[in-house]
Amino acid sequence: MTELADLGVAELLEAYRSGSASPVEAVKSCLARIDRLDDRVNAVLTLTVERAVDAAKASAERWARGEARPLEGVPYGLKDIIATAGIRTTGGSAVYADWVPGSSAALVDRLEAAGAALLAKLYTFEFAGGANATTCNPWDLERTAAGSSSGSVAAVAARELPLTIGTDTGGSIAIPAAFAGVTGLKPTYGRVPRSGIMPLSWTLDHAGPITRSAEDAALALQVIAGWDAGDPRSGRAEVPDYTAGIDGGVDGLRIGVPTDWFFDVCDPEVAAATHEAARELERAGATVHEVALPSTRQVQLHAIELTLVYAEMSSLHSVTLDRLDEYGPEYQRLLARGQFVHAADYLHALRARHLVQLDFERAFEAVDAMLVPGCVCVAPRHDHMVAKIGDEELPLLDVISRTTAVFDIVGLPTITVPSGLDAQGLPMGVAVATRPYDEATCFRVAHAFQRLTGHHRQLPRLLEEDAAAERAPVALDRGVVEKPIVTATKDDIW
Amino acid sequence: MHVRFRGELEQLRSVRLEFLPPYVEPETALRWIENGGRSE
Repeated sequence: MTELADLGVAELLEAYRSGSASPVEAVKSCLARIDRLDDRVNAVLTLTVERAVDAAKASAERWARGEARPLEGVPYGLKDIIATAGIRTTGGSAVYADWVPGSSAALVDRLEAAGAALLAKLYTFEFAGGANATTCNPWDLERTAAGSSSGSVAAVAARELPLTIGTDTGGSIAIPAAFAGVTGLKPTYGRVPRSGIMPLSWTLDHAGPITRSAEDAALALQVIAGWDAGDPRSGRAEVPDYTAGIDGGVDGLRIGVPTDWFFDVCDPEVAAATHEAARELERAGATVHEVALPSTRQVQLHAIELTLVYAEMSSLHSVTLDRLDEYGPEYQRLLARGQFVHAADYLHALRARHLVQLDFERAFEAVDAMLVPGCVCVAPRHDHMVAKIGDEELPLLDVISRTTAVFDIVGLPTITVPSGLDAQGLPMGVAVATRPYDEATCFRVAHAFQRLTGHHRQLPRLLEEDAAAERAPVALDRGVVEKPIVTATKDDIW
Repeated sequence: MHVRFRGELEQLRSVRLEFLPPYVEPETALRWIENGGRSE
């Protein structure tokens, strides 16, 4: 039986509109799913039950009065590096374990103004860059949900929440979205303001929605996109109507598939699923073209990513370096590396970035969108953190961001969607990339692909088991429930 | 920087970036993004 927690954003809004469901029932349904599953998934760090129920009650009244706002009564969650006024915001770190912000991040204010109901703050790698050995992949609890937006992705995959917000600096939305079979949007750099979000690297940080479908991601981006004075890198481009052309299909669209870099190190099953996605779109009327991006092999993208991140995170955390022992071991390692970045290397990395941008500019003269693997491999086991590329096992952190960090470096939008299951039954992902500020085409292509394939509707076994589980009454008188931060041990990578 | 990263860093250092025409970062990259991915 379908429960309200199983519905996506657009489906929930339609249920409210038709009067077949209410926001309070939806919050209760999500809460019940969290109660049943989250002890094993560990996506939720802080539950804001009272706040969500109050917001849902107010939303129910607005629906009754015909005054519903764009996300009226939609339960949502936030990666816990995103500030929430009056609610603990930890950054996943002991350093900020008790921090209660006085004001919320700009995107939170926008979600609240649109009627969304905050139900949970979600586990994250420490400051979006360290490690988190807590959150499990709902498709296989022995496997990682990756990160750094671990909880944000796992909560959507486990159908605990229909919408969460994550952040992406080298692939922290795209990689976990691919591993957990959900839809993750990394918008254009500057499209969504980072005001009130703990930074990892101001040059590369992006915030975006994680949902079950491209349509849901479009509804969420509609609300959180747009200029904000609090983020000096926030873009001033007008926010278009992202759902207006989403049903336009792909007939006549030119889809590019890169011939280099993205497939140089990639599991054959993931690569095959990406090429099959291109053929699926071709059968629907798109034309598919090979595109060359020679600079991606030449400039050493991983070096650009690490040089920028190490230097900027090191600068950002200089204010609390006297509390170094309170950071987790992985973040301590990263901060140590940041002490040795030469200024000339940092500036060289910034300048090299534009070479890659120019390569993408040339490629986009011939195509409207590109398809690349969402991540080069499927989710590894917690006890064997390697990237399995065919029969070869590679160090995970050497290759995990190969198909994702490049888009943080150049600032292009990507949407990562499920491309099917591998032979082990684990999700694989494919990403659609477009020109800056052309998220509308990302949504159009991804929506068409999801309508054609239905890959995004496949469910983890955990949810099949949950369907048979006993339903206990849901307690709503819980106020705020705070779980402890669990810092990864020295042996944990993720 | 850590040892594993040394080879990648050396490769980045070897990328030829011209002296002229002059450009300033990060402004060039940001302007390119704001201009929809177009240089002109």
